[in-house]
Amino acid sequence: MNREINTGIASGTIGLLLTAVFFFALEDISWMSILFPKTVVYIMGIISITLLVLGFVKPSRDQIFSAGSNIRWMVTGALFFLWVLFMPVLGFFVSTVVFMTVIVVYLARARTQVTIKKVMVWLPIVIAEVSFFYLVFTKVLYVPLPKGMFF
Amino acid sequence: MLLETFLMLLDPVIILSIFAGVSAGLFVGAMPGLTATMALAVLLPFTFTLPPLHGLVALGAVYMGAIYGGSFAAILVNTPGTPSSIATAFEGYPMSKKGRALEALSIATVASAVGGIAGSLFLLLLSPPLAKLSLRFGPAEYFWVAVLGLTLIASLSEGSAMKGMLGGALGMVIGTMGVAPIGGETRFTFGLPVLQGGVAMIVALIGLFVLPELFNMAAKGRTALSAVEVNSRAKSSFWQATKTVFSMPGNLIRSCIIGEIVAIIPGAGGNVANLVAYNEAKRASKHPEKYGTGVEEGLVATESSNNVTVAGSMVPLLTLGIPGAPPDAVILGVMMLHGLRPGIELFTTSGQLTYGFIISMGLAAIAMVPVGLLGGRLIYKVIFRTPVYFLVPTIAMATMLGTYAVRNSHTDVIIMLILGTAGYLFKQIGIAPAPIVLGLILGNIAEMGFVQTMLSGQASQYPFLKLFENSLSHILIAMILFSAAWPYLSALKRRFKQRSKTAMEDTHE
Amino acid sequence: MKGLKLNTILTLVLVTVLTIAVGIPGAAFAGFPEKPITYTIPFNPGGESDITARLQEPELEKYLGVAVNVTHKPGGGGAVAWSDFQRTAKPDGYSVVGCNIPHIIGQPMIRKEAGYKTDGFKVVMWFHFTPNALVVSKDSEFKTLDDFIKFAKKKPFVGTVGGSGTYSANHLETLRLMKKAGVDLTYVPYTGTGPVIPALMGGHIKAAMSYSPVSVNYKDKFRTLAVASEERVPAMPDVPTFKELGYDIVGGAFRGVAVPLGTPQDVVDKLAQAYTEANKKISKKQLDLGFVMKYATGDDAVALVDTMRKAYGDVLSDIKKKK
Repeated sequence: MNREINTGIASGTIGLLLTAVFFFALEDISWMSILFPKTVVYIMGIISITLLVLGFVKPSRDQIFSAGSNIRWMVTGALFFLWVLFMPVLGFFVSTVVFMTVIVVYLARARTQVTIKKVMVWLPIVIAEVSFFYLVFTKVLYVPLPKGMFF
Repeated sequence: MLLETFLMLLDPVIILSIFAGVSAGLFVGAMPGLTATMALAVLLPFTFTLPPLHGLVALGAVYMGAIYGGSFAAILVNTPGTPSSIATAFEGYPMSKKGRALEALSIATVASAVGGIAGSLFLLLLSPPLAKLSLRFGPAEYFWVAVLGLTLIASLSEGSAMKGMLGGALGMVIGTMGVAPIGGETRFTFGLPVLQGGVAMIVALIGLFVLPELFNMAAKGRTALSAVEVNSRAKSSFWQATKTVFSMPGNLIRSCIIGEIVAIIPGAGGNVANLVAYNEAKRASKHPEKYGTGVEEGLVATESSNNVTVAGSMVPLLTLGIPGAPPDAVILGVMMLHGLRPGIELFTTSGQLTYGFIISMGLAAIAMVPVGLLGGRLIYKVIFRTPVYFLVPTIAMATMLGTYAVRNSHTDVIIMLILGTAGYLFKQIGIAPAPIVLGLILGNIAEMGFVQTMLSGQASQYPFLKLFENSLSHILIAMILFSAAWPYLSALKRRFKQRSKTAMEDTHE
Repeated sequence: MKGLKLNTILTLVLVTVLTIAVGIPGAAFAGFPEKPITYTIPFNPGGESDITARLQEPELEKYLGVAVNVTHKPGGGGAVAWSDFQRTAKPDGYSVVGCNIPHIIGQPMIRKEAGYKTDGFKVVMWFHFTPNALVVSKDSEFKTLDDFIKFAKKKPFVGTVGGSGTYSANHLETLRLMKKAGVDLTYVPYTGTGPVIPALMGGHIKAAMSYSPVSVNYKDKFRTLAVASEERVPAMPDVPTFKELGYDIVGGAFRGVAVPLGTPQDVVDKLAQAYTEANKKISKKQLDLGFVMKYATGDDAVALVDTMRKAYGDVLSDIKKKK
């Protein structure tokens, strides 16, 4: 599949979209607080338009998302989000053990045959790893990690 | 007196705390998200029980180790461990990809040690004049410093400079989220109280640099590290690395001076110094087009300059009581608790303590060599041998923990993930993470400088004229113009050279 | 069997010693505290709040017999930590947050979404006070407050006064001074007390409205024109108060700790005792640094919030009207 696009137009469009998001969030507050944000939002708009124009005049085409499996990074990304969102529910420890194991199994499938036996070896490694970080952060660094329904 | 102080430091307890401090710092620095400031804050209660000198020595060593440790993650996983090694990744990671990871680690170690020693020497010998210089930076000068820093974007953006500028502008906009530094009202909170705190620079840094790398690994199903280390024995040895580092004295001296000047500007530290030094090394280089493919010079520039700032930023701290960088605020706190009042008298009445502290930082820099060479090899082996399906979630966990610990905030972790995912998309269309982070760092400095200048000029009809009032501002403006014009100047020079070459060939005909 | 006996004896001894030492009946030991306490500082490490907490930490641990973990949650001038605290902290006494006047008074009034309420805390104690102080550089032309006011009358807005933050104690005090003296000054906010110092040393501002520890720590570089306390500050006996000079201005930053509303009263009392003891132990160090110690607990603590709310009410509502 050829995923070549005009990156000038793409970046200009995304820039304009972001400019719009921030432009409509500008509020009427004292000049000290708003002068600078307003200026940089305008600057961002100008740069985005320039990129768009340049994209039409001097098109530069590049391959995007060309490295490896796109499904794989997207699933991994989605798992990262779920992992973090479940943290306040399950607690840092449980959530991390669960999602780390899932990610390990998922990514390992790309390279090797995953068997129950292998998972049985991986799980204790994951638990040991998470315990180490958990103890370092809570007992040495005094970071109050998210607690969930368990601990 | 110096000799006497030096002998005092040869106490085994002090030597031990230097080594322990450097090792702890190294660990903290190598973890993305754990910063030097946090390491010092955690250590703080322990130092209360120690005599002042021991406490300060330990803190100095941790600080030194943390700034150096940031290079490990930068070289091995393309992720700056601390904001002070953003540019280290530019050259260090390509070296790793080519199978020169150990060599890169050794060079970074030696360069960091040289930088650390240079910083202590600056502090020992040049404190009073440097302190005077640092006071001349007022709001207008801050603004210009930030603008000068933004001219780095052109060289930081791989490929299109215009896309780099978009990244820089986006970084500045993200940086304005939350409470205004001047004016106190909130901007861009989108109705969420938690956004009052804005996006912490370090959170954006982690997201933008780490996540794209993790997604890359996941997509490809393997790490980008080369499977074979070329010449692992010969090239990675300490002597070889020392030779490499000292084969470029001009680069080394320039980077150290840049590091020191940035360090004395309150509010800017290693995070700015490494980028400026990298940029200048590239500019002075005979082959700037090779930068980004694993050039040792770039690595030496960033790692020496950022370690200069450790002791270097203590010039305003010890002489005037002004923290030059965030971690220095913690050290100031310790000094106050021990009844040590910063000022010239610190060098006279408590001279032994002060000089002891300064020299101990130099010793910490030396201690980094054995600790770093050993630790570096260990971390390299771990990363090298871990299968990618373990590496990805492990790095992700470390990243989440680090992000969380910045402000003990779960929201920050979500922000990190969102920015990181967006960063991966941006990278695809040619917007690199470095300009975004640079915009985030400098946007804040620029805003503060600008609004404060306008306020100070309230009495006059045109407050903005204040921006052009001082001689230091003029110097900075000249530097900005020069820096902005540089690409054109060098192009002109090249064309000129080419023309004279062809002209010469003509005569030969 | 032997080990068990030893344990029982040890526990008994410990309880007896503690009871005698503390001088309160054993009933008060019912439960609290039995696990570590988290003490959140809503600012960056290295500041006054952090340093104070670090000094208190070992004393609190000694008194309460459990670990006290100091953590930081900076952002939004404290608002991030405070809004999070009011939303999520459990009212069991194991979550304690540092809080400051006038921050918790000013922010909810001025900001649209501060995310917390001034009265949404149960204040355990206000333990110290750093009065505002008007300082100038040693080589400044202003020898007295009078010099400065005269200058401001002659040249409106030229007198730039630096300070930490907007709607902070420094800012509000400068506004009050302008009102009471009938002059126009320009207040230039900085992002903390730290950056104000080089700005004043380098002559980028004419004066600074800062806190008393600055006056004490930089007494060889700065001159303090007046201090906004009821009485003179012990660490600088020759500096006049604003009151003595004819301006009825008393204010500054009060620091204290709070727990969530609904925390049982005996737990609050226990914490208040612990902080009181800690405060006594560290007072020598803090007095030397220019702090004024306070022991406002219970109703006194609530009353203090009300007093300061009234004191700053005028200037705050002026700001609101302008917007």
